[in-house]
Amino acid sequence: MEFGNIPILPGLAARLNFLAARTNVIAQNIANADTPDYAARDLEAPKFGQMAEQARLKVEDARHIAASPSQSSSAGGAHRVTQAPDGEASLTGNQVSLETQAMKLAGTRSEFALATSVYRKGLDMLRIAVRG
Amino acid sequence: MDDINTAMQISAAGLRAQSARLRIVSENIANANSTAEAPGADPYRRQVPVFQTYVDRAVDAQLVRVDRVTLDPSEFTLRFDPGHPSANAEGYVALPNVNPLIEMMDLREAQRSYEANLGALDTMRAMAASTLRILE
Repeated sequence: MEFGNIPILPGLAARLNFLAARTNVIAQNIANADTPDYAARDLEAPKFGQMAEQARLKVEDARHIAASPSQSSSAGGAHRVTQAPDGEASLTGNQVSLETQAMKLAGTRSEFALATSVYRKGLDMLRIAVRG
Repeated sequence: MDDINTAMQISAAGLRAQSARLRIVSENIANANSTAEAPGADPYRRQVPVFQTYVDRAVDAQLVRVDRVTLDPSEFTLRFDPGHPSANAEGYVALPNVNPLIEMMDLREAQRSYEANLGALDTMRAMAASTLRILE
């Protein structure tokens, strides 16, 4: 049993990467909550089809060799930052609502906890396979 | 983990900027009654911090800092008090353009922003902890 061939672990690692990058952007928004003319940003959520294609290259011919998931899914590390102003602009032109950002951060935190616990379950499964 | 560490540095920059703002607000409140040293001169002028986004190449993220501290150009209030050592030739003393109510509002706002950054930092810490728990 090869580690990288278990598709759930690299997929979860990509998910954790995305969530960590998102907290990064939200932290920037909160830090700049009083900066004049700053508008809130967010990360574009990864699309399922894109992720599936990254996880496994398309095989169109029987002689093609399918890439192993572990090699390609870790390469999709770059996420696109988009402008996501929170609507209300203050007198200084700042468009960050602390409440919205706090909600987003709390959501990201619980999704991160979910992904790490699923990762642990995956590792537990491996442990059972190894120890019997 | 790299992104989480970066996010922690961003929140730390936010904490630094907000505490600099708190310091300036406290200066304003402390000097709310500081009149001029010489007769007829200007008293203490209210200071206003201006925040700025900047890119830190070492962290590779947009941090925040207090760009400059400007002076509030609004008018001083005049009080008729000929016996005061700072009174001008007509007997008026110029008082600082500090409004304690506005300063208290600013203080509260800085406090809330500080708490928001602290909350973000706490979230990052919890996320790092849950990542490390994978190793258990």
